[in-house]
Amino acid sequence: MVKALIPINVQLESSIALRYAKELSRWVDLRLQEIHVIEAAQKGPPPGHGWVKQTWENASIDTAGEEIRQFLAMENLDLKRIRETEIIAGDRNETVLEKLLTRQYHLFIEGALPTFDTADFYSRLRSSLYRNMPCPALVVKNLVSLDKAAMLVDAEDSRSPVSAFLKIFASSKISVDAVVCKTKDSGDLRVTDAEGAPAWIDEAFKEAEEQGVQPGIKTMLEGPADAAAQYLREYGLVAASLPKNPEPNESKLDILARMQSPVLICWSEK
Amino acid sequence: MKILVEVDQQQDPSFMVRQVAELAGNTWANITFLGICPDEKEAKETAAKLDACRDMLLSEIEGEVSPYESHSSEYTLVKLEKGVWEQQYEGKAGRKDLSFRIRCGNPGRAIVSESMDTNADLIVMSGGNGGSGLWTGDTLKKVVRNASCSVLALKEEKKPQMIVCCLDQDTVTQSSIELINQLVTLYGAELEIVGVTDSAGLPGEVDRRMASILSYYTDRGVKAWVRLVDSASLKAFVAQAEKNNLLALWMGKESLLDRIFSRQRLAEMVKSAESSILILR
Repeated sequence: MVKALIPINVQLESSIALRYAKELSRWVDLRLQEIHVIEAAQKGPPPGHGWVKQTWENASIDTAGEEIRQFLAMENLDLKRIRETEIIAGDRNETVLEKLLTRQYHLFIEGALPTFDTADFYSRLRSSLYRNMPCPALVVKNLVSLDKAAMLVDAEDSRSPVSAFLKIFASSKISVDAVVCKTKDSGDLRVTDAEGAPAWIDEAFKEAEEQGVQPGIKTMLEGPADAAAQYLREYGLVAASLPKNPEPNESKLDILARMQSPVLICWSEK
Repeated sequence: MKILVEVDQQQDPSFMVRQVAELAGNTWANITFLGICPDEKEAKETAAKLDACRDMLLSEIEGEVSPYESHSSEYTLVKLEKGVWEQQYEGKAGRKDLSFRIRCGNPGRAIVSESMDTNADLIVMSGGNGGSGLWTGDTLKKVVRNASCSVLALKEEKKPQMIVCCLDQDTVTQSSIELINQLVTLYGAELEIVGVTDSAGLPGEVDRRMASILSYYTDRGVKAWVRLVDSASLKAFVAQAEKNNLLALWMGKESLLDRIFSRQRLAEMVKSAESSILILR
């Protein structure tokens, strides 16, 4: 069983994230906890103090709760849920992080529509929520079919992302390719079989097979990040390891920022 | 659907006719080919070109179940009013209209007048390949500014990899959504729906519209991606997107896109774009 926390609102990004969660549940025994955080900017300044403020906040929660219920009824997705959607007033990042830290979720799922400006993705990863996250983060950028996944690695990676991936996908029988990337600023994308892939990939494939995941092919991508991201669109999920608070020059980060498909970030130790 | 096809006197129409034939084969649209001549003396020459377009179109659809009557009679050029002719073919009408008109005078004005007369949903124009035909920036500006329907400027050079549709308003007509669906089929391309954000993010009504458009396409098995672009980065995005993709801009009244892309800029963009551009109403 994979326990996942998913913050939702009544927008397209949440609709996509929830539908993708349904897609994911084809492969893993997913138990979802939805949370909706009403932020101060969203509800406006409180009209007073004490009892007045409390009553007003309760009314905001009731209203938001009704909107969320209607939204979920419209989506009408048959998902396994841990309990009813939590509606909480507060700071979104702080509230979500507190839930992740205290309730031992295995996965964080968030809808985030891709943007033209890659800086938006960097900002997300540099937020307090992502910097302190105790579990892998699944950033759902688009709604795609999850038929096969890719593990994006570079020459400096260790096996840590594979272990994190297997914690979620063990026994799923999903097919996973290994894609070794080497980014360059210009030129065409070169796609070759990954003869120069790190040696640990073969061992990781063996371990994956033992744990009920189908190892696929190994591919080497060499070229600009946007072309690599374009190539990876054929995958319903691309998993990669990143350090917490990554530097912008992290090669995989540039590809992940440009990805249109969902991205699973498994945190590395470095 | 009603399609108005502008036939440029100076350019080879075969690519455009093939594209229209494929669209027509899928949509069973009513089609009007419009030839434009600078003065009345050239009406017969224009008629001959339209007749050749007709042969091309019918031969493209031949073999399929064609909704257009393909009688082989000669045509008669009938003057409807000053500067306006219709090429009439003998025989019974097909299940769908296939008509041929000629107008004299200013091309931009003629195209818009004809689109209004025929109540067209889409005007198809040749995107030009740097030639000096009637199809110029001025013509485009007039058509885009004054036409109340969608305008497709077709480029011959390459098949688009993706149809990229930008919207910043929720005023999107059902016919334009269906048209995009047809173009996706026509080119076998993927679809990207781009929401234009402002300083406050994506407006709620655009978010909801994107959601409904996405559902429409996914329900029909069309692979559709979504993306957000900040209005400040839109020009850079468009410059990149127009290289390999068919760019579709929903440009309704009060549209931010309408303000960002002045008519002049739009005309230049279409002329210089490597791929086709579709202005949606």
